[in-house]
Amino acid sequence: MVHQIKIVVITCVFLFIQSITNSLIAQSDLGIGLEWHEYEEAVELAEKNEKTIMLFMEADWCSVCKRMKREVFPDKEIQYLLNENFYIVSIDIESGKNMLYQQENITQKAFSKQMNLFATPTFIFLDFDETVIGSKPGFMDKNELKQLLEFIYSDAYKSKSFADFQNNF
Amino acid sequence: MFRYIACIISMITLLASTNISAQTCSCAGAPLISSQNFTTVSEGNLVAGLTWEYNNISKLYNGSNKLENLTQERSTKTALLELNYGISNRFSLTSTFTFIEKRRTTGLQIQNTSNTVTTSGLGDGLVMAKYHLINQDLWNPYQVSIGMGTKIPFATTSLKANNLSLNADMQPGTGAWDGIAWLFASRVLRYINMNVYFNSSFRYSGTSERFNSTDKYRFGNEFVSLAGVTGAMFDRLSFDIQMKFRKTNKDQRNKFKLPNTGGEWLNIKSGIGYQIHEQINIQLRGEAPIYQHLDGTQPTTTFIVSGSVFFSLKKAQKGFTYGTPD
Repeated sequence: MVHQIKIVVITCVFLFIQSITNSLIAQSDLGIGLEWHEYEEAVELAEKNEKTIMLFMEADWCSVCKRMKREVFPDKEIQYLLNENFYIVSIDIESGKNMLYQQENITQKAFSKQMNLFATPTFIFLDFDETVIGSKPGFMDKNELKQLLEFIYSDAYKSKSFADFQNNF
Repeated sequence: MFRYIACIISMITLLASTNISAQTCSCAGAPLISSQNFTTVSEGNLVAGLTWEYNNISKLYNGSNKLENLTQERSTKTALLELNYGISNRFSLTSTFTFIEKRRTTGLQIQNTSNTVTTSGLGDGLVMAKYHLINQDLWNPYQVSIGMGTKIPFATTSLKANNLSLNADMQPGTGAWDGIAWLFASRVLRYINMNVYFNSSFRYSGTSERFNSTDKYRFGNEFVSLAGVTGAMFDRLSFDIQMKFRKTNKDQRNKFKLPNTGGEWLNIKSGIGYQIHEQINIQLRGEAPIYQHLDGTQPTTTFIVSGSVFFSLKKAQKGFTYGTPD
């Protein structure tokens, strides 16, 4: 009986640790050093400066998203590439918060469904007139994200596929 | 949808409870149906799992009463190789292959008379087709899958010790083709990063001819049902807690129900997992009975520990997609 009680106690401790860690991770996750924008602000700036918008589609419960913020976004080169060449926006795919997309007022959740997301995180790139250039789902390490960012901001996407671009990177 | 899920669960439970005619002590054959993992494998992906399980059987029970005059101890070590392949996003195939070692020490009551017998060999296998009625995705928190399959009697049933044939529950295999029905349902609770799930399996046992056509042995049918919760801790750690109910009916030899076989067990099972790599996950689990009611007097499980490593060979996630994805 003592053995069974131990198991129950251990499992309770796991649950407790889990709830604590979730809240701690939630408080300490954002990629510091990056210039995050509200969507409408990003559109306005992109239109003015003819730059690309990068949407980071994430969710509170997405541990891979948090890992990217912790392990990939702090990289100085990535921060430079993002801050210099893109206006970046975080979209919570479950949020009821409104955003003005192509003159239509919709929630971030409705926008995410409209984008047919099937995984988090997903990176979506929009041209300065809000046209969707393309998207890529899933975790990317530093190297792959650098390649993707260069693929977009160098306009290489207009002439070759991402796979071809990566082969010659 | 709840009505749909409840209907399937009720059907399987009814099927199981009407004709449970069970298995001897909890150590006959390899633990095939209770070791199936719940991974949903999508089209073109393969998940391979390697599990090592140790089942320590060193308690003696009569009904629900623990007896102190233990005369024998047993243990079972099993290695399981499980392969799951997604033929489509709805349909997947699972196969499980086992290697099993059984140890039995008798004569514990009298000093210097103990005798240990060990058997080992390729265990029985299992092949199952799973159909995912409802697939969980970003916008749908539910998963409902059903499966049908068969246990394949690869293993021998005629091992001997000192020229004497060993009991059926010391053989690596059961010698019979069994039918398997399987159900899995889960709901993700994203706001607390947990997944609650329910699983039921039913094994309809076939009959084997152990030594000749007049000696027919049939292990009892087996019903395993479990409810659990799994969740993520930090980024790479996960935990899992289950309550597992298992019921087996009496074994039959030449249609005669054997005493001291079959029973009911309620176990608690807990484990942790660690994602070493994007494609590799390891899991450690412990399991202990919290209640058992056995038919007659039987040795029964004291604890089970297991370790698993899962390799997930996934098709590359979609690369860069131009425009809005379809």
